[in-house]
Order: sequence, then C-alpha cells, then structure tokens
Amino acid sequence: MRSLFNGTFPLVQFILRRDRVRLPLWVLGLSFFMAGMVPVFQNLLITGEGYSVFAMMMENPAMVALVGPVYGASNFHTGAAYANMMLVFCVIFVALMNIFLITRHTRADEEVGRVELIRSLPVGRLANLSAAMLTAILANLAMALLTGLGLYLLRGSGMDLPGSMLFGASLFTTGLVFSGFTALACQLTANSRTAMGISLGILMLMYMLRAMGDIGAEALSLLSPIGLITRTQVFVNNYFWPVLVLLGEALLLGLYALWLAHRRDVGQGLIPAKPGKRHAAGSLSTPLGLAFRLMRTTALVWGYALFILAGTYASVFGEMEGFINNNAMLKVIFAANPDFGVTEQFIALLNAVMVMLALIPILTTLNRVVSEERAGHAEHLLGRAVSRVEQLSAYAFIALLMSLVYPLLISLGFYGVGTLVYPKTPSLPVFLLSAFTYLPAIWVFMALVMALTAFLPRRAPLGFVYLGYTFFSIYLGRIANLPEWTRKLTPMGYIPQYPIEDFTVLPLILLCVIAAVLALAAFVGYRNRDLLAQ
Amino acid sequence: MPVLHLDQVTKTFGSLKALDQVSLSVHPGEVYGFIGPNGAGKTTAIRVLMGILQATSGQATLFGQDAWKHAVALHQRVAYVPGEVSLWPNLTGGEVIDLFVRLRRGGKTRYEDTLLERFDLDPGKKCRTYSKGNRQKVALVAAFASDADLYILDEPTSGLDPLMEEVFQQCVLEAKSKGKSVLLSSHILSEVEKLCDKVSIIRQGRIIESGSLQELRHLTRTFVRAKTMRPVTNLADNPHVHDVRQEADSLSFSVEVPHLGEVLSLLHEHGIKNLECMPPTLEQLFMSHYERGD
Repeated sequence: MRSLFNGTFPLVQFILRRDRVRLPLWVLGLSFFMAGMVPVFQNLLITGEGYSVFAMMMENPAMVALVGPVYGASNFHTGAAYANMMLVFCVIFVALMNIFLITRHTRADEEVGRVELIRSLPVGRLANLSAAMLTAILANLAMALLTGLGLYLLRGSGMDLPGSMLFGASLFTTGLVFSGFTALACQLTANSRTAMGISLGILMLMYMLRAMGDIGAEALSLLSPIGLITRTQVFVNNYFWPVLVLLGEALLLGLYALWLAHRRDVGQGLIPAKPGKRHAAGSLSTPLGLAFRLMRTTALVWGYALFILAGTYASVFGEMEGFINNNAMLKVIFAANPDFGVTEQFIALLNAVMVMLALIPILTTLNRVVSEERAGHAEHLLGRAVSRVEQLSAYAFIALLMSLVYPLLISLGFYGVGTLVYPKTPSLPVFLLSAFTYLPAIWVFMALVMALTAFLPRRAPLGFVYLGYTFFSIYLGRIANLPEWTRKLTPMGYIPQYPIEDFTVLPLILLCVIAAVLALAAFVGYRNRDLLAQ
Repeated sequence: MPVLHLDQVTKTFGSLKALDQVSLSVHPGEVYGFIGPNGAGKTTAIRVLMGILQATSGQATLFGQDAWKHAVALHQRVAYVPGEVSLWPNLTGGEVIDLFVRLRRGGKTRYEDTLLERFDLDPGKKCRTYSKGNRQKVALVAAFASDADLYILDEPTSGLDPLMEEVFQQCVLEAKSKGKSVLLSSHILSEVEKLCDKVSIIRQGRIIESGSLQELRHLTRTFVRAKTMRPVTNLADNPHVHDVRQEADSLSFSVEVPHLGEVLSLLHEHGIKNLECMPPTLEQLFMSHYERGD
C-alpha cells in the first residue's frame, strides 16, 4: 500500500514549485474578488427599500435560473443578497480552478511523457494523482480560509463569522467535488484536452441541472453539487449538512479515480482514443476555410454568451426600473435624462457594454493573423499559392461577419426575453437600431487592429489596450464623472446614444471613412512587410 | 536559365546583417546542397526565396521571375518544407496534408497513400500529439505529394530517424530522376554528400565556397595512409604535408591535392608496401573552411 503512494509529498512540493505563480494568483485573486464584492453589495443596497426591491428582482424566475433560489427575502440583508448573487458564480470559478489544476498535473503531464519520467524514479504508481489531489485540497483550503476571513472582515449587514466560514467551506467542498470529477475524467481518456472537455461538460451539466431544479423540479437541483451547496442558505440559516454530503461525494469520487488509476497503464485511457479524420473536409481548402475552422469555437461560444447575457439583462428590465429609481447612485449613472424612461436610457448603455464585449472575439480574430505568423503557421500558407491579401482578408471577413451577427444576437436576446417578462419593452427595431448604430465604431476598431497587424505587428495587442481605455471612458467615465473629451478619444464616443439621442448620420459616415482608409492601408502594408519569425 | 537564383542578395534586420551579398544558382535537374551551421543564414536565404522576407538589396528569382513580387504564381511550381515545422494542434496530420496539397492550387486535391506508408505516418492523429519528426513527415508528405518543379527543403531531416532519412533520400532521388530541381539546406553532411551535385557553404551570412563536390575537393587535402620498407623521416619538412602521424608500422598524413604527386614519389623512394588514399569527406571540407575563416 505504502509503495503505491511513495513520493507523494515530494511531488506535492514539486507541483507547488511549478505553480508558484499560477496557484497563488488563482487563490488570492478569487478570495480577494469574493471579499471585495461585499462592500459593493453593502453600498448598493444601503436603504431598507433597496433590499426589498433587490429581493424582488432576484426572485424573478430568470434570475433564479441564473444564480439560484432566494432565501430570507422577507428580511433581506447584505449577507443574503451576497450569498444569493455570488455563491453559484464563485463555485463555478473555484470548480474551474480545480479542473485546470488537476488536468494540468495529471493527464497533461502524462500526455507529454513527464509522468513516465517521474515513474522511472522510486515513486509509487498513484503518487502523481494523489499529489495533484493533495495540492487541490491545499489550494481549496487556503482559498476557503482567506475568503471566509475576508468576508468576515469586510462584513455587511447579516454577515456573521459562522456564515462567512460556511461560505468558505462551501467553496472548499464543491471545489473538491470538481477535483474528483476531473481526476475521474483524466483516467477515462488519454487526451488531456478531452479530459478537460469532459470536466467542463460536467460543470455545465451540473449548472443546468441546478437551473432546471431551482425553477421546477427541486430534486434535480439537489443532485447537482452546485444546487446542493446553495441549500446551505448561507447568512440566512447556515445549514452545514450540504457541506458534509459533498465532502463524502468528493471522497468517493477521489477514491474511485485512484482505483481506476491503479488499474490502468501509464499513458493509456480507459476509453480508447478514437482515430481522428484521415482526410480534410472540402471546406478546408482555402485560407478562409482554415480561418473558419480555427475561429469556429471562439465565434460560436461568444455568440452564445452574448445572447445569453443580453437575455439575462432583459429578464430584469422590469425590476431594474424600480431598482434604479430607488437608488440615487444608479439613477445618476443609468438614468440622468428625465425625458426618457429608465429602460430606454438603459438600452443605450447596455448596448455600448455589449458591443465592447463583442469586440473582444472580433479583435481576437484579427490578432490571429499575427499569432499565426508567430506560431510559424502562416509560412505554410504563404509558401504555397496564397497571397498576403488573401490571408489577411480571411480573418477580416470573419471579423466582419461577427460584427454583423453579434449585434443581431444581442438585440434578439434583449427583445426576445424582454417582451416575455416586461410589457413596456421597446420594439425590436429600436434594439436593432441602437445596437447597429455602433457598427461604424466596431469597424474602426477592426481597421485599427488590421493596421497594427500591417505596420506594428509586434504591437498588435495594443488594440485591446485601446478597447480597455474605451470601456473605462464610456462605462466607468459616467460613474467617475470624467470630462467629455475622454470619451471623444475613442470611436465609441461619437456614436449617438439612440434612442435617447437623435440618430445623426454624419459621425457614422466619418467613422466608416476612417475605417475604410485604415483597412486599405493595412492591406497595402501587409503586402509589403516581412513575415514575423517564430 | 537557372530555376533558382540569388544575385548579390543582402538582408539586414536592424543592424544585423543576416545575408551579405549572397549569390547562388540552381539549374534544372540539379540537387543543390546549402550547408552551414545554425544561424549562418540558410533559413533567411530560403525565406527570401520564398517571398516571406524581402531582400534589402540584390535580387532573388525563381524560374526567372522576382521571388517577392510574383510569389503566389511561382509557389504553384514550388514545394517548400520550412526548417521548423509547426502545425495547428487541433487539426489531424491528414487534414493538414490535404489542406497543404489543395493550397498549392495545382488542380491536385488528393495524394497517394503510398507516401504515408513510406514515411510511416498515421494521418489520423492530432498534430498536438506529433513529435518533431512526425511534424516534419507531414510537411515532407505534402511536399512530395505535389508535382512541383522545384523543391526547397530547409533542414528537412533534422528530426527524422535513420530509416526515415533513407526514405527521404529516395524521394529526393526520384524527384531528381524526373528532372526536378532541389535546394537542400542541411548540416547533415553525409546526406548532402550522398544527394547533391553542387554545394554552397555559407558562414555568417556569406557564401564562402561554391562548386561541385569534385571542385571543392581539389581545394582541400587528401588523406594518405602508407606502409614503407624504410622509415620516411623528412616528410614533415614538406610544406604541403600536414598532420603527420607515425603509427605502429604505418604512416598517416594529409596532403594538399595539387602536391599529391611529388609526395607520392617521395614515398616511392622508401619502397611502398601498402598505400591508401582517401578523398576528403564533406565533413573535412566543411571543417577546413570553417577553421580557415577563424
């Protein structure tokens, strides 16, 4: 028995040494973020009325499906609101930390042959897996303690020490459950990507089970660790039993994974790897076809996420109106204009935020031109009968498609869900016009990144820096009351805030002209520069 | 007309001169060796020829046309294997080969499975899982699957095992027998010696020697091992004889090729019992050029 685990502790040290930056970043980042959100809740919900309106907003079925059931609504306080809004999301982040940690140190190491190297030393057969699991326990423990202490130190109304510690313990155990699932997945397949995919799939499935359970059949929610952990009713009733149940579940999963690991050969998975395609599909015949293939997942995931996010915002249109009217600070930010309804003013800003989010995958797609060069992939294409113009336009075309489809998805998300829950939701054309007004600004961003690609390829990520500045000046600028010129330094600052402002065409045309000139210069420049070396 | 020609090509990166007045010609049907250590400028020269880098001065042409301006059209006749083959991790080797074959746009969309068998490559695996050698095989299969007129191969065997090196050499010889031209950059000299008609040696961005192996050998020394009746004592005094070594009963030395005759007659005076003459290997040739430059 001892021989199976021989060398576990030195391996834990080794993992901690390898992850000496990564792991503290996860642990500190997560716990600081979670503790840091407490004052935000406390400040937003300062008045008694604010609490009841917030509770009403959270009881909306769409919100329940998103973040879980509301407890203690009759006497809502910061603790209850915080746990309601944050617990499920924090659990997801912690689960991600565990999934990445376990795959990285078990299957990924095994796949590249590092485990074999370790095994050749006097090290037990299960030492690698048990060391990764032990590290996960340590990381989760550190994060749980820091979070518990942080919550208590920055506590708002209704947050006591047992509650804060229970919140930490909830993260600890659900983290371990997902470590267990991941350890199991890593025994099934020889491919670390597949193992990570299975684990992420389980996470998504558990989240969806919880969502369905919380708005309907509760049993489903109790089956899911994410659902079960919300039954601790942190800061309201502080039940500890879900934590104990999940600890048992984590233990069983861990033991099962160890047993499977014991039975299999190094480098093998229990499910045999299925051979990949021996030939390419017909679509994989041009640079555009390749670019589509490479960007496919990114584009779909972002489209889906933007649609869901827009729908989520829309699900609270009704409550939002009451909520903002009741909060002086939010009213200044979202509804400074007395001539329009809160929702209408909200739409313009929401669209600005959504468009800036949509720009992330769009700019990522364009940056791929440079990263394909850096990776030594572009050389294969340009060394064949492919021109520079064709290569750049492949990615530009996909970015252009994204710039047209994403505002559509955002508008559909807003309108589709909005009309279901809030009768005063504006019509679809209002949403479409408001979203598509931003198109010229998107194009300027795109053309700018293309120009960077052509003229300053090593500085291409500057596009994201500029996007960050834009987010700062457009979104936070309102809260911090920054002067008008800070907004005029970015193309987004010239977009009329339809429907609260008139729809003016001239700035839009000028932005389009700028975009066209930059894009044209980019094509010329890209034809005339050396390809980046690897 | 050469199929590939570099005419006084210079390429600078900032203050670094990667290529300095490099000239080189490959004629139809020739297999041309391009040798030099890492960092000498082989890859830079090839990337200029492939229109991936633009020459700072001088001219690079393929089939008589400017390699930068007409890159796309020219590449339909060229098969290129880069020195460091890096592939897309989530495509399979088979998908990449298909893509590469189609992107040459020579009308060919399929390739022969025999090539996969010869190189012993499993095309159903994701490129993420391929070793360096397997990634090179993907590029080589894609290159030899095409019926190009010119093959530009940048250290194509540096990750292959000896068995696969053999397969590679056969492929090059088959291409040669069909009248194709090959530019083969390498620092594996035995391979160059086996395959190439002509050789250029590059060092620190300059071509320091060019010519057929025969010609180059004349510039260097022949290795001689001899047994004589009477000991030869005055050999080391000859200025054209080097590295004299007296072993148990034999004498070994190297001699500058133009002076071989006079040295042999010297040996003859002492009564030759046994004589071996070995032409210089490319290895020695290469080393002697590098030593001379220092």
